[in-house]
Amino acid sequence: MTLKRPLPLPDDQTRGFWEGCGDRELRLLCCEDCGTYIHQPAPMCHACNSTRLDWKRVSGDGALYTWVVVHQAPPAYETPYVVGWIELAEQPGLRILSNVVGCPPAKVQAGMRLRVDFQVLNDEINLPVFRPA
Amino acid sequence: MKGEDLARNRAAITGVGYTPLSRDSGLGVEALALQASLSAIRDAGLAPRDIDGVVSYGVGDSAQVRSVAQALGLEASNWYADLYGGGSFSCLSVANAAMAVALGLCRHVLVYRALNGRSGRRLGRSTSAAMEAVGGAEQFSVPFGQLAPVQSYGMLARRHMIDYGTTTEHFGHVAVTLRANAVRNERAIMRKAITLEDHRESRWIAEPFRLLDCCQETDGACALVVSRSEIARDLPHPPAHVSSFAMGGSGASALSPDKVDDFTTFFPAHIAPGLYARAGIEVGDIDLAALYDAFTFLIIGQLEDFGFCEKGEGGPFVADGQITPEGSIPVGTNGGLLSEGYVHGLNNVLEAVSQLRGDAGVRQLESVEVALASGWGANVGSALVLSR
Repeated sequence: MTLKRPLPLPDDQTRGFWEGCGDRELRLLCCEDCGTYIHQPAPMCHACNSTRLDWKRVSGDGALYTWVVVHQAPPAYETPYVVGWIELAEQPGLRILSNVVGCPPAKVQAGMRLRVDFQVLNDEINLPVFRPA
Repeated sequence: MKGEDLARNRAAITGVGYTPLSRDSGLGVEALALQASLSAIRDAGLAPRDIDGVVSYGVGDSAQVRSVAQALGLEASNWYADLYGGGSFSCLSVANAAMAVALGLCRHVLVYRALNGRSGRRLGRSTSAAMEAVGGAEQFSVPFGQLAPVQSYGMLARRHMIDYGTTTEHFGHVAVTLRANAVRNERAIMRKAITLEDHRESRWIAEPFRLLDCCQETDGACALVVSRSEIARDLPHPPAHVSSFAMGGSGASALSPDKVDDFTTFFPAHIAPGLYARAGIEVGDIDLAALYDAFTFLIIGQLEDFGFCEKGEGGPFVADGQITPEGSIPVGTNGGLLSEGYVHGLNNVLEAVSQLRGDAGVRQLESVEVALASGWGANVGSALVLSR
């Protein structure tokens, strides 16, 4: 038996994000009133409290803000792996948690430029991960 | 400032109680809660019938307040609060009890935390990681392998290293200092002294955190009694007055720090000024800091944001011996959560009480008049100023 990582379970609040990943696009909620991007998805804009939010494609470019190299994890997770917060190009402080792949953990550096890529988990779900740009 | 110190010194901690701390208690959480609670009530010179309020916290892994109250045979209560929360609730639960006392609802409120944190549900392990699919906030963390606090706090530590030059050796100084304190504490789970080299050679868990940067998953319970100050004076032990309390923070979150400007300003920066003002103290008046220490770095971050040293100077400050019992601000005199055990932070509050009473035995610091205790979880934390 192969142990698998848990899949994300999209809901009404988050479906647009995962549908975007399925189309190999990074889509985030964006406030229609003030233009602030919101991630993780929330029902209200934290900048202006508007509830008029819609999904908008972002470039997928970013820089690594902070990370850990995980050495101890359940068997479904192949260690060591890098999980961190990537600051996206569109807005200061707009960060997404993801894996840094395609780079040995020891070579990972603060501020390194990254670009989104998508790992196919099944017919419906792609996982957004980040590679050195 | 009028009106801001209504609660100052209106309540006091009058009794404390522990079960043994272990990795396998062999008891249920309710049995643990009752044992610690009865011990605290008797320590205060009281009987269960004197208790008229009960407060506890947990994350679905503890004994419920109503069952504990029933099993203790409490006769009347004006205040039951079963709070759902983790490390940030340790001082909040005491504050909640102090408010019930200060407002006149209660005379003596019991506060406890019980858990089988090693033999039962382990906080350091994600139960979600074994599931087929995860929803809610976890759909953005678990599929990427962010599974436990060691990883989320590790990211705060990493950013602090980037911004301020803090090193893993600084973390080592915290581990070594608190272990040295635990060696002198019969209750502590870890009593073998360690060196910086031991720390450096311990295995990575989530780099930059090694094994010796992590607290002890623990089975056990502790409890305390919060009483009206005017009654407290007639009880057997010197009261530890609750001079002020706070619970708060910023939008920054260790778990989802995606909507904040910076990862290296922590909850004390937001609550400390008011906390000190309401207690009528300045940071220099604090003799002991019982800081929440699920991981070594948490002490460094709090030392800065509670104002014991400049921002960014926490690493050099601990390396200079400033948090040892002989230093300018002793921290974790019981060994802390890192080495005494992890009763979700409440055991650190009990150590502060013991030091204020002057009954900490071989660990006793000279002349403790004012102690600070804290609890931290995600982006928020709670804190207490206790005074003799």
